[in-house]
Amino acid sequence: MVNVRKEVSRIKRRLVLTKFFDCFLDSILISLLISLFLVFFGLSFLIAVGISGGYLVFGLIRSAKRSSISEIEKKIPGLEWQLRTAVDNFGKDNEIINDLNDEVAAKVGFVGFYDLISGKRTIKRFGGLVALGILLFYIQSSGFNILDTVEEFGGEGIGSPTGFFGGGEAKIGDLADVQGDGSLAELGGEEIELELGTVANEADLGSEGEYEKDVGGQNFDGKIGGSQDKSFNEDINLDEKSIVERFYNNLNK
Amino acid sequence: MISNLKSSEDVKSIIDEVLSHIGYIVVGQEEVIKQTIISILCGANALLEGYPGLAKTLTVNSLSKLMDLKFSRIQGTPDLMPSDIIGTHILEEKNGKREFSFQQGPLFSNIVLMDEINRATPKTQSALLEAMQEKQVTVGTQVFKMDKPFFVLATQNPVEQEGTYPLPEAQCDRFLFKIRSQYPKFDEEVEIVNRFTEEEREIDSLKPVLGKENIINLQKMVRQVPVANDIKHYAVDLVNKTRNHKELIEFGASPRASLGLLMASKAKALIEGRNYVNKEDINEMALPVLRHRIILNFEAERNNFDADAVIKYLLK
Repeated sequence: MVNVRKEVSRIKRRLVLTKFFDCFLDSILISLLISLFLVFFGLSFLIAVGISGGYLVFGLIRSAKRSSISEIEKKIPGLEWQLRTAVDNFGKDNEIINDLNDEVAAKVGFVGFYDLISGKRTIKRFGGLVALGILLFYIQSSGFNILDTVEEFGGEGIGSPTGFFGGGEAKIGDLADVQGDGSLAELGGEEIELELGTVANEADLGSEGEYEKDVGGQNFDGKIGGSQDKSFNEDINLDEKSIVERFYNNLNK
Repeated sequence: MISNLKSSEDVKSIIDEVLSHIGYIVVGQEEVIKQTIISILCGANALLEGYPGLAKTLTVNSLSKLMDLKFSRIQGTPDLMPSDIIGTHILEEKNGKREFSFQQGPLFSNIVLMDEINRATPKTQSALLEAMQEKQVTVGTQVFKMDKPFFVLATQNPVEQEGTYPLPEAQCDRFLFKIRSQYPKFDEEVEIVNRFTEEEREIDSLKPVLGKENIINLQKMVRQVPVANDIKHYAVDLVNKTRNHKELIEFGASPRASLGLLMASKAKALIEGRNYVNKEDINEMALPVLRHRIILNFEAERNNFDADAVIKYLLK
């Protein structure tokens, strides 16, 4: 007599594994969907990761608890009522039950991971994942932000585009500054804002003599103004102090 | 005759053989034959309701031949007395002494066909009760056990109710099934006409396929068929519904109905070569098991619902 109990435990484990897989795919889908929403508002992706992580944990616990024999029977129509009957009659011994157990064990033996998983559903999920992934990548790379769009139309912005895990307002000096090297205008703990007409730009302090010839690949014929929030003094090295003084003197000419 | 029946597949093949042999005599009526066989395998009795001329007697007689069982037929009439069916004490002379000995009536058979049971008086009808339920007969102080297997198939005519004595509920409950025989289909009737006008087919030409021992063994096998807990709950729930739907049913079925429903489903599964019971077995057996066990109320009758329609409604 085949040990049907062992076979049934094996198929139950497979069902739980299948559910874990489904749950994992679902959580990624959720994560992408939320990310898509967040990227429009320039909010942190950590929220999406947190929610989908929570869903994954909840889903895993739920699927482990709710895995039942009837679910296996639904997925494998050839086992309908047979498996349940065999499980409910464990321990009984007569020729008909033994025949049933042998039959069930033989059928269960051929059931694999792919029999338990819903092909159509999984393909749909993968399709969704790919579509959402592409959309998210496109939006992310184009730097689209709904708040900027609102601002362009006269609204008041409440944020600015940030990096993948960035948060808050971008500052010169932030490592993830979209402008590039953050060390360019960092002077001690103070912050310098440069206003070049309507175009914010950077100035390379190492080649201060050439700034007016070519800034950002263009010549500026108009006046260039510079303003200083605060005077910089003792925190600046003497060598650098002279460079900055010269820089501002040139600006004010 | 088959010597060894072990698996459900063996049972299916032997029952198929019985059905093919019976088809030589009886045309159509597959459901009636199948349900009668199920009743025999459950060791229970059946009430067969149908118009005259629908091969009721022929079916039962053919089955008894194929199963090598002792068959007797009793015609229900208003003057039929209990002693006419059970038997009576007669005075016999043995070794110069005269003493009473029990002369067994036609009830002492394996298959008893009680034709038009509702024409017999309640007194005679109730004489059958003990035999049907306890498989024994008490005469005076003596108890006589019936030979195994014992099966009563009673018939009644759904029309011509004048001068009849409808079966009391208690007696109805003792029948596992109320089988309804239907008129044959057009093609079947043509076949009947062809077959019986061109040649004579004798029941005696049937050879036994199963023996008494086989039947007893099959009855044991039916009890061994395992049932899932969900199926048990489904069957009991269905019987419970007959008691709770007061808007249609005045009196519902007893726990004997739950028992009968599961036994019949087990037997059906077995003769179909399955070693487990499914929901379709219960649904299919619900009609013959429950239709004579429920009493519809005025509202249901006013709406022209019969017992079958109400059971089908409960199954939805």
